[in-house]
Amino acid sequence: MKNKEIIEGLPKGAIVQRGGGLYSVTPRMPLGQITPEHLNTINSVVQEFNLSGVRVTAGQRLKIQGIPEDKLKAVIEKLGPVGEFCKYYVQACPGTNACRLAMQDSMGMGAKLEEFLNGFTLPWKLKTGVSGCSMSCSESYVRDVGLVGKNKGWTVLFGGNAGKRVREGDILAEDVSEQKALEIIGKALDFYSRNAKVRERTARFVERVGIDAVKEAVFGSTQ
Amino acid sequence: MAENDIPTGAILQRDKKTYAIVPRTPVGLVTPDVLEALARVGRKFEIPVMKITSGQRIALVGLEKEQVDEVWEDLKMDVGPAVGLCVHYVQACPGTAVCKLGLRDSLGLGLELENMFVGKELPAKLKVGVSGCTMCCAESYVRDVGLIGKRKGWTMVVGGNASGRPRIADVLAEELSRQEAVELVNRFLEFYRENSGKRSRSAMMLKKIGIDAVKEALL
Repeated sequence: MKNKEIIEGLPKGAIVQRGGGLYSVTPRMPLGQITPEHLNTINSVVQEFNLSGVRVTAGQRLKIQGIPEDKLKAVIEKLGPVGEFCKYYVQACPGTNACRLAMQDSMGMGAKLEEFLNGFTLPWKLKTGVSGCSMSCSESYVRDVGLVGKNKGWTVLFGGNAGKRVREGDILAEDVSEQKALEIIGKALDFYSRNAKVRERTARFVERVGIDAVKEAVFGSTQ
Repeated sequence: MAENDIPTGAILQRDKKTYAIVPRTPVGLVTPDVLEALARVGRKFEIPVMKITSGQRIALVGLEKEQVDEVWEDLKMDVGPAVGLCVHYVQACPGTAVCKLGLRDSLGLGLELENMFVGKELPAKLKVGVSGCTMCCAESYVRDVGLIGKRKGWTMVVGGNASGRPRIADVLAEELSRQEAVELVNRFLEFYRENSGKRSRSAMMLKKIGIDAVKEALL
């Protein structure tokens, strides 16, 4: 199939747009943090290649669109360090860095989680949200993996989804430290990786196997 | 600090000294001019944090009070509401403009809604998500007002929320034309304004009165 060949031959991270022939790329910018230099780099690429535009996405990234196939490689090269692709995105609110309401450092935790997730190869896409308080501005309850900062520590949520079949994530643990939260997430993701069907998101996976099975895999059967 | 001491379009930060601002970038579209302006002010005012938000906007964080007006002056952009009791933003996926899966023009409808309603005063903040197909990339089912493009028209859902107490939106109407969808959003916002208590989000109103009451009043 021609389509498949084209898709497989694409540089990692490029997406074919409607109608074919044009591509978009979403450079890695963990937690939505950008610098004037990033903006200038992206801007110079948009202008040099005369591209149609840039969009701010809901995943806290900038998407560069309308790249003709023959310019794709050059565009990615020019983007340089900005052109590194994000494996699993981590959304985070400003947290104790800036927000008056925050109970925990969601940006710090988000950065650690992003690092941590890069070590995984999962069955399908994974979206995560780290919120510094129970207002949940990173929408942690409807992410595959969600963290909510409370007075005594982190609440860890698993199996949420905000798509066409919305699912509220289940609570795996409460009042845990950063380190413990990552440990729990790691175990849950290992279990998910080993047992999920092809292209099965965590929400559908939890519906199928039950949250108790996930909890057992994470905490052992004694709990 | 009294609320009227806070400069226009600025959000007081944790340190109770500095502010954040969020320029308006409807449905997340930005031009080279916007990027240039942001890069320029970022450097000129040595803005400590520039962060992309989940609402498809770019927040500039850590401004001194006296810088706020100067930064706005330099940016020449409108304020994107981020704290007031009003329509905050309209989120949209790329839709038929770009996406292979898109069934409807979500960017077009999103922009139209943004232009008409952003800043409109309401009992509480309100978020809108316009998705061009049922994949729901604009997370329409967890927005106060959600629109989903299907083959036969737009489905409109209301009363969703993605926060600490998530709520899946109820379907208000299906197979709407773009014009009908815009009109129904308008009528729903009016209904919400008249029937909800102060600071009560649309999810709370729907939980209280139920979707049938809304349908009866609007359809």
